[in-house]
Amino acid sequence: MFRKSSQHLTEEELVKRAKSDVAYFELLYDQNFDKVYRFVFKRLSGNEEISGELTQITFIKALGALGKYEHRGFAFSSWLIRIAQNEINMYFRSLKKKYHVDIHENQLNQLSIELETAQEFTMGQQEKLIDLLNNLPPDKLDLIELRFFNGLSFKEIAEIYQITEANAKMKVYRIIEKLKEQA
Amino acid sequence: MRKFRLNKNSADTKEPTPEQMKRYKDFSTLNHQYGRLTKRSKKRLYQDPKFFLLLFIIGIVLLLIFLESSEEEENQNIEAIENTH
Repeated sequence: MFRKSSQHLTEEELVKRAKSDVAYFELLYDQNFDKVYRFVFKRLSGNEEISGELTQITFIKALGALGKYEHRGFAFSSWLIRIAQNEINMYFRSLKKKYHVDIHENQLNQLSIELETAQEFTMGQQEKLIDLLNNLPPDKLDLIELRFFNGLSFKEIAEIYQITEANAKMKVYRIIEKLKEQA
Repeated sequence: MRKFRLNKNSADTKEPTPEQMKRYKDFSTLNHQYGRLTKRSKKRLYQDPKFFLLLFIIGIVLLLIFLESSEEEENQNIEAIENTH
């Protein structure tokens, strides 16, 4: 009954109501859970259990900070993804051992196209590129990951960081330029 | 700390299955966890054994200071009476 009556509500209205009634937050949870879980799952290279935990923490933090949330025309999910990204980075920082994230050749190839490396992408070049990525500062690596490994558009990246699309594009290409110099 | 490594197996794509997502999608647990995090403790502060011990030690110290000072005062009074005689 409650769900049916809330179906006509826009996301902005749902967020507004969720600030005072947690039942509306449940609707936001239902709408966005899969997207957030999928994002975390990919970033953790398929670790099902930790992805579940980090997704729950993301929504708990979102519920706690909902009062401060301001709708600026971006999708609510982009705010959630940003929280999830911070949680993932905190999780990686808390680990004493190295956490290995798999990159597939096709994902690396997309990046190599941008880097304008040779047509034949040799094993040595692949290893070198991975080394360069591993030495990038986390904030820069996040952008590369979102664009090339998670396959997000510049518009989606801009929404997560709440910046303009042109700014997102510029930030990514600056990192690519730096990688080109080092490659 | 995270490190990337190359996975040559292109078939090994990282997409969660609907079953996996369903397994972790649980709003009632989330709501319960949130409530537990934000709710104030029902237990009174003095019912906490550590806090109670601290209060007890402070009480003992204050009592000792009080007894010491009253004893000193008594001695001074006795001295004053003896001097007048």
